Amino acid sequence: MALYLKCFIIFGIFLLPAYFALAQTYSSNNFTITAPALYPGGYSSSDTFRLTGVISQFAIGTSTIDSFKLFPGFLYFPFVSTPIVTATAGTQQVALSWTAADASTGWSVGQYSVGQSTTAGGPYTFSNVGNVLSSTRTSLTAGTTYYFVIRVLDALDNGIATSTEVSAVPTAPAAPPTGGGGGGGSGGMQYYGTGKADFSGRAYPRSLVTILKDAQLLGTVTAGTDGTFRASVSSLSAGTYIFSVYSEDKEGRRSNLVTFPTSIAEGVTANITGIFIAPTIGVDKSEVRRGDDISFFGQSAPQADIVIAVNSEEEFFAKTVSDKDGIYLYNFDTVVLEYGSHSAKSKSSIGNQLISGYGLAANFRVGIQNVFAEIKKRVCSARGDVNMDCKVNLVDFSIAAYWYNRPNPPANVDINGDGKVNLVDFSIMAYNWTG
Amino acid sequence: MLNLQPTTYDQRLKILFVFVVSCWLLVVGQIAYAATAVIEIDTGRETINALEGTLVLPSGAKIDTIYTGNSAILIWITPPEIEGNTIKFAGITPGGFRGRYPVFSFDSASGVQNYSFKSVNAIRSDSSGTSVPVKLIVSPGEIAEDTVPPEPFDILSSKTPEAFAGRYFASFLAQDKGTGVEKYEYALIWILPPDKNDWREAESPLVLNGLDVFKTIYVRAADHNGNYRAVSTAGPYRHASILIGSIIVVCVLLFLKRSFYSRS
Repeated sequence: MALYLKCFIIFGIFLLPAYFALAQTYSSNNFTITAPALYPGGYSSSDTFRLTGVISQFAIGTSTIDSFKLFPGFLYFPFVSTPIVTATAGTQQVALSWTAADASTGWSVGQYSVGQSTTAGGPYTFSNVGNVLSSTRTSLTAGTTYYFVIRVLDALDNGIATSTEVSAVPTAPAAPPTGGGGGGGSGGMQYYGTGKADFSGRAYPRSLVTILKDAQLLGTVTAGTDGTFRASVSSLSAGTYIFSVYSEDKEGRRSNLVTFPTSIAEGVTANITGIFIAPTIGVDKSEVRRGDDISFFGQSAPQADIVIAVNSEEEFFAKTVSDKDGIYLYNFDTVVLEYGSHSAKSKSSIGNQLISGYGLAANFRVGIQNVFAEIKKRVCSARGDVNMDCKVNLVDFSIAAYWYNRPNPPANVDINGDGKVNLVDFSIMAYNWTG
Repeated sequence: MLNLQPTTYDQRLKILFVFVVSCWLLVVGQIAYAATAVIEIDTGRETINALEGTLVLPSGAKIDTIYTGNSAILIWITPPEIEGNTIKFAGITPGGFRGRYPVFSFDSASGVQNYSFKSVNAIRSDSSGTSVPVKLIVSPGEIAEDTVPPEPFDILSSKTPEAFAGRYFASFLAQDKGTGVEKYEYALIWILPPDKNDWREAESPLVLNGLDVFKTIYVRAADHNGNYRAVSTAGPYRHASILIGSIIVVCVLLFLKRSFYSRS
């Protein structure tokens, strides 16, 4: 009997810790990790590569020796934005250009692939074009509508994002000119180009979308209830234009600028699709007591997946979904954050097809008390708006240029407060530009 | 009497050789002189919105004109200008850009060799003020014929106590997709459109003195090929002056009418 009792006690001593050490199952919409084994490890480095330990199940993305990064753990959302694509029809050809995809948190852009079809929605014939931002598709049939998508490939040629479709109709070779060339603009008549650009994309429901051409205000358009917008610009000369788009949510919070250099040719329409304006973000507290919740909220397209990234020593991510008006709200437990200054930014995706970049960041502090943020109906861009007219434009630039490299600039002109107006102040102004 | 006729086969061959070499040197010299150097920026994977730097020219380099048409830099803080054997430049692009784009170009007898850059500073487009490494490249290119005037542009007038002694000023910026904007001219006019003698050289911002605020501001931007674009806007008090003028005219008319009727 005593022997059985001893055996039972010994058995219990060995089994009880095993019971409590049973691994937890991690899951989300995208993955399930059953019974992971965690081994605390050291650090990895690049110059003389050393991996002294492994936290298992980290293999998301690709690491290279040139820019080595290892993201161990589970709460990562590999991120890549979808390119904005421009298609410009030419003589039996279509010139494609696209914005660079931003990839992070486990993904990196290896190259791009152009998908081509004569049927809307595909299937597409893909051809890899390398890590470039333009490609001209030649030997096309004049008068036929061609549809294109740009697929972003990682270092192992896996597709990680695909742009929205863009179409163009190649033209037939032009007949040789019979008359003399046109004159310059030095006469009394004003010359206007014949190039055109059509834009389409997503902003916030019923929001005002502002379009800038080469940093100057071109016009505004109101997005529909589903957040989509379309705009058209004509009278463009041949050349490269830098178009920018931004919007404001219903509380007056501004998005960041979405910029896309576009090559325009005379007499041709450039179709620009896939513009997806990043969500706005606000916080309910300027300072939050550590361990209390802080609310992140803002606006995006309706029914969009919102990922909120909270910058700390370690980056934390949270996911939520916007409602039919594009509004989202997420209460974040700050117990994981260190004391000090932090910021949060958000991005959105729709059906893993259209993915925005990250928007402007909202700043807050983690401290020992809660201080509620001042809610303003309309928020003027604080940085760069030198003359406080709620715009950051050429007037502010003129005032800042007056103080460029001059001593003792006024505080509102010295945007970063370092006692001088230099390139950094102009960079901040350019970032907050409204036109 | 000097006899220039070659007498032997060797002499003829020598003259032919000298002639061919001279022609070759002339042609190569012309080509070298006509070479266009394009300063390009490659930002790699960074998106930048501000750039400054200095291009150091090879000794003896002769540069006539610097072209900024189609540049990735939209607003120049310091337009590229020759200072001794350097070209300094600084500018911004709201929204930023990423990739390889032209910054400016020029014709040079030195071709595209032996240039160097110093004090290059590119700022990441994220409002952090972080400097990021970029590549500046000098590559051969060409300046196409430019028959298109600068793009339409706006004139913005404003004032602030922080600059220009609190006076009103007009800001303007034109873009030219060909050779680039070479100069601006302005005219401040009461009523009629300006004639050719009214135009004066201008720089943005243009400070408005005294009665200028009541006038119409005309600005025209000219590219390096002489094509120009003219735009105009009312001065800050233009509409007020029209209103006051109209009231004065009406008062005078009423006075004259009353005088006329009282006499009759």
